[in-house]
Amino acid sequence: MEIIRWGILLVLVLPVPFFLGFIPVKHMNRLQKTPAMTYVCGWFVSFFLFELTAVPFILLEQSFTVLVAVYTCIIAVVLAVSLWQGRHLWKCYFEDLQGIRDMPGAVKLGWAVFFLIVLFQMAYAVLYEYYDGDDSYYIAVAVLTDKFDTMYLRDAYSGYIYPLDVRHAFSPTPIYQAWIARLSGIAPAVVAHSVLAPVWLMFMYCIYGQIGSRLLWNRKNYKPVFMILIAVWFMYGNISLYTAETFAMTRTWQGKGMMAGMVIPALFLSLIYLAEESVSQGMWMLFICVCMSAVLATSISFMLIPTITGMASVMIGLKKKSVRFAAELFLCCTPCMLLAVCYMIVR
Amino acid sequence: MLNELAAVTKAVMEDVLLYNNKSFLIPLFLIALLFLWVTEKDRKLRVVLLYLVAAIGIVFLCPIYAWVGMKIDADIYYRVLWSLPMGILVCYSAVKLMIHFKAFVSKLLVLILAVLMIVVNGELVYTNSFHIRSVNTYHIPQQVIDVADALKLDNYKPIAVLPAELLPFFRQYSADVFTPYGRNILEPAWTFQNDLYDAMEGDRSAYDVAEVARCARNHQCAFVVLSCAKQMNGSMEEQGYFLFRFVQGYFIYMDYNYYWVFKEQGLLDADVIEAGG
Repeated sequence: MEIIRWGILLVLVLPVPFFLGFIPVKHMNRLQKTPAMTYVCGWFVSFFLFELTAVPFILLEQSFTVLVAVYTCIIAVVLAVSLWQGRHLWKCYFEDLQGIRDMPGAVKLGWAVFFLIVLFQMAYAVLYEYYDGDDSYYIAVAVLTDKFDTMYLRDAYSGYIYPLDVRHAFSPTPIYQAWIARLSGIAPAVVAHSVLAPVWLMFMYCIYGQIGSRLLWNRKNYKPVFMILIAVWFMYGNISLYTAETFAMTRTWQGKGMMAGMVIPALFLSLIYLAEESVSQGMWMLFICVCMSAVLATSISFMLIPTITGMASVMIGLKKKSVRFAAELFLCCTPCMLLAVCYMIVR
Repeated sequence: MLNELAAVTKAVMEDVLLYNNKSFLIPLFLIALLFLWVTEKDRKLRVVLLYLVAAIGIVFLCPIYAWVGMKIDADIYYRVLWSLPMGILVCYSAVKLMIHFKAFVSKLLVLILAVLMIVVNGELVYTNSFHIRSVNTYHIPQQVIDVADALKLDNYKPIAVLPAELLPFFRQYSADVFTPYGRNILEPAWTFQNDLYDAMEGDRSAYDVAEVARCARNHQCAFVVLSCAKQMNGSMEEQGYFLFRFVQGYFIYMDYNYYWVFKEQGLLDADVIEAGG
């Protein structure tokens, strides 16, 4: 029974996000059609759908079981569509894998070093625990949600009934983790600390890998060097309690860690590609999903995302000499701003 | 208004200094930004990595923007600094510098220097934080799990008061027990107050048992968990409690008042009934 539970859990965090990524990646250009980009897109599609589904259910004080049923059905449908749409992508992935054989020895060595560093970080995340006081809120919310079938209607510190916690209701990362816990039958603390911590580290490096692919598109052999430096940068980024690196490495599973480690780099990844002359539809999809995922991660996104997107629209619009493009880019954060308005109203 | 803006500017500077601590991170990022400003030829990359990043930095340091941000939540304004992709810029600059050199040895030297610069100026996350070897997949102390399992009843969710050291972890494992307060009471900045907490933790070396029992009853606690590391001034039995279990250095007492009521209603597990007699 335990094996089945762990099997379901691993399916939920490895192949499911990968397959969900087929839809945006299908609409991307050849350079972007990689397994890592697919995995990255899949997680953001999953977050995007969850944010859209969960927030109304939370605000309407519906039961968690209803949310689980609805969101699981949505994921199942999107997964089916995704698998169908992405059936031609396997060829690209296969070509990518074949490319490994042609790499020079030094590049292979570079990749080996990078993977060893990441493997070490992932193993450390599983084998060592990190005390963080905020877990007693976030994980406790996931535990309460799963147990009492209500969302943000109980005090995380006592378990007593409580008015709706609007401050956190718009950023329901713990509810997302409770969904994984409910489907797999594995406790939320285990899901967060022993599974999402290493898996989301891998997810984070996939994002940086895609950034590296764009920055060094004509110097591919230097990509492992960039990735090694990034991995070392994160490992030694704990210069204070406040850095993005500290949050990404020590609180990977929390919304804040997700924002620092995954959402903001993914935002830059999308913007780098959106600044190109021809932008693929898939990149637009990813950008919209990332903007929405930021809200799922933390409510500071209500301020950060419109600011960054606004400035990016001006800059990229100016570069492309296109007001229309600038407007389209800024419109991508409309769902985020609508949620911000709702937040202000119900707060 | 001007005074307020001056205060906000000061707060932003403090945030930046706290963020950077005593390291070379932000100066390194500025050097990388400057380096790429001079060397990066790709106009599309320049827009996002240089102009946008510089604009983000300026806007976030702008007192008016910071004033609005701090109105929303001053404590977390520092998180806007996460939007500056410091790692990407520094690492990309190092790679660009490496590409600039022709000889393999020079390239290797640049790589080594870059790694050394990060390592020397940075702090290893695993040695400079609260990492300990985990004893279970929950990543919480085993005694928390054992105490929580002991308190769990099949047919009822009781209220239990716990020693402070168990509070940060207990509810991460179990929602089968209510607690009069949680980790929120341990955070001085949040200024929560509770007479039961004062009775439990007021004296670091001993429990005033009569006071603990009185407060626990006021908070409808069926169970009281006491650490064996502290002395007991008085006996819980004299206060109408019985020792249900001793788990991992913690005495779990049950209030006889609740015992009889719960027993009559068929809410107690067999082991509790056996312990209560």
